Amino acid sequence: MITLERRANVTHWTSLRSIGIALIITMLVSVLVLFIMSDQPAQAIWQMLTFPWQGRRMEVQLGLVLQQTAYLATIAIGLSVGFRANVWNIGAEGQFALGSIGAYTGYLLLGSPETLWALPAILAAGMIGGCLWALIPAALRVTCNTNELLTSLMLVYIGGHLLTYLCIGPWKGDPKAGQAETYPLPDSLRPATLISGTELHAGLFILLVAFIILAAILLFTLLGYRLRVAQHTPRAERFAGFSPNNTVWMSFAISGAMAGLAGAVYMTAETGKLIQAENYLENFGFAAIVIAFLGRLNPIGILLAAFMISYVNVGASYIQAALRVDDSVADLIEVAALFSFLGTATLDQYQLKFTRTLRKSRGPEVLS
Amino acid sequence: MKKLLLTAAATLLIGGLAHADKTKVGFIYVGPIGDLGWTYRHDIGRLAIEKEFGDQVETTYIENVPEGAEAVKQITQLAETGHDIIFTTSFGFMDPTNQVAKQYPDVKFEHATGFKRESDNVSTFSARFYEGRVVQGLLAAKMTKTNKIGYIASFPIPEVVRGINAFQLELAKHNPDAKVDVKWVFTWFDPAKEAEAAQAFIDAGADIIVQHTDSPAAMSIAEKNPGVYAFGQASNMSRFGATSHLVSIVDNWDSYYIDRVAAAIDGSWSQTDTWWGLSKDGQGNGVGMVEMASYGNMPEELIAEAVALQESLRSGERHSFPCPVYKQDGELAEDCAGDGKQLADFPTLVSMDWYVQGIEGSLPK
Repeated sequence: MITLERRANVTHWTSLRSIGIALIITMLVSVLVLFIMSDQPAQAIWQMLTFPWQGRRMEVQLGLVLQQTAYLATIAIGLSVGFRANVWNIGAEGQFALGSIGAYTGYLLLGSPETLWALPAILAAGMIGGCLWALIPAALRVTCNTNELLTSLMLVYIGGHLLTYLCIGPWKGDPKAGQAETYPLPDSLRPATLISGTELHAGLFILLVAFIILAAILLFTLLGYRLRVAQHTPRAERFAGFSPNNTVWMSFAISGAMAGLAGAVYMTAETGKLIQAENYLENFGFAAIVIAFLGRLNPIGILLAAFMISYVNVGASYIQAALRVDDSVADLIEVAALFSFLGTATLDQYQLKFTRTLRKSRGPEVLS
Repeated sequence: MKKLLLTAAATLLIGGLAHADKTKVGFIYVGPIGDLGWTYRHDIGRLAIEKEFGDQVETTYIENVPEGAEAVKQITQLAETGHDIIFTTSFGFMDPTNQVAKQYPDVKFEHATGFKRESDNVSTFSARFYEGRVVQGLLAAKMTKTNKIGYIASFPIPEVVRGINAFQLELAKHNPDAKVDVKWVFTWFDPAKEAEAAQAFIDAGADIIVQHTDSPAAMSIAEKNPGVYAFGQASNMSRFGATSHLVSIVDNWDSYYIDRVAAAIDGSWSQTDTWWGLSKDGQGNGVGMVEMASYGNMPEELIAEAVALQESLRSGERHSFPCPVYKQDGELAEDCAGDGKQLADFPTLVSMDWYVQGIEGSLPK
């Protein structure tokens, strides 16, 4: 009989230990997966670990990693606000799409400007787009008490169809493009590439700044403190001066705005136009949910988790090109990481007890 | 761990040495190899390279690459991992291919069905699939009973428009009463959407389904409806339509791919724009990029007629767009003014963005 008992004293050491255990489990699973999926497993493992130094230009690989890190971390930290308070926005992918749509709307409303000065307004329009889309599940939760897990997820698909509809219908660009897309933004409006041939562009700095601002708010301000205590119980929430409804509104507004900003930067920097959903969305919004939990809803943790997962993703795409290993390796590793990190997180608070006989429960502190 | 590192270092070294004499050939696929259509045929071409050159080459492919920002990343990865020649096998990879090519002037790029060659290391190639559409036009004209033909089209790019026009011209010649209804599905591969379009045509009375998309879904729908016939696209789809399959236009990239890789190996590779039909030169010489496969479910005499038409197209005796060609509004095509014999490749066919007479509706603009 195995029981989980709450630890008497939880220290940083126990957290670090469980993170270490999780990392080891993730690595073991990764090695196992690569042994199954590759006919040159040793080389696959080695190249996946060291891929930035394997390719022709290191900055290209690091650029890809940092680019993904920026998108994932920005969206994930927004989601972490709600997750701390038990508000479940899992629709960041849709808010990302609406951020892109919002940014393009802003571009059109400004009369298709050509100068870079319009960019802040376009990005702001993207944030508003993502934010408004996120407020729909918030409003449904507050007014009708619907489950925001379901509504926010469903709105992802509606958002995707809206994106495709705009590309096929009202905002249709060149019909000879071979895919449904809008006319592109002028190059003068797009954030400058910092190193030629890499994915490093000025837009990533905007995401970084947004990340730092939100992280500072969460870590160092009274508002951040309130949101953190709201996590524990509704009563604490009340004491902190929040009504549960306000927490819902605020969580969705912040996470929607962050995902919307990411979508706006993506539209202006990566594609320069809207494209039909299946060719446009890269699942950053869903991956960010995983990142938020891998980072234990902590800003620094989220940054590290985003970097780790991006490194794995780009590494997988590298060995796919180099060694023909299917890049679904990355998904498997990501899932392994999620399971082991969530699993071991329990060990922060609880410890395993092996007992010979079924003992009588000692009250609510014992899980099973 | 030390042992692992040593093995890794050793394999790396060996890999590095092996690379010195092997030519690395990379492929970017828009769909899964298992689509049994477009991507499947490109993969057959890749295997033909492996068979032809054996140990001289190493091939890699990346499947299911979306045509947006993702394509740039994946093409970059192929260039970064030391590939010498990279085939990007969908129209939508045009801009990504040219963008990446500028960063890697020593890598050769081959883009399928595009027309942009912005740097010297980009070549383009395409097939005169429309030659197969001429044969289909004849078969549809003779096989339809309801005189309603449903045409599932992907995107209004010249390649697709040429196919529709070539089909209509031959159809009208043999059966002026037959009408083609074109539905744009804005996808290359979406079995559900393709099946839905086919069913909608059949519900509206069509008994011939033509497709310019990649999955066998429409063929399967035709098979479920007795009396409805369909044409296979890109690969041989006869096994999905035992009683409905008339003929498949099969893409054959093998000989082009082998030519280009041979040129990359011996150093004679240079920028080209290649366009082969049933034969390489349009005069009946060489294996081209278009094949007709598995004629069936029709009378013997019709098969003989179709094969004869196919042969005349292959030998160049017949052109797919012989004058006079009238546009949708009744205006004579410019190329047919005076003593014009046929529509010209440049600029008419490569940039075709108009319907010929007899097709209703307008091209999505």
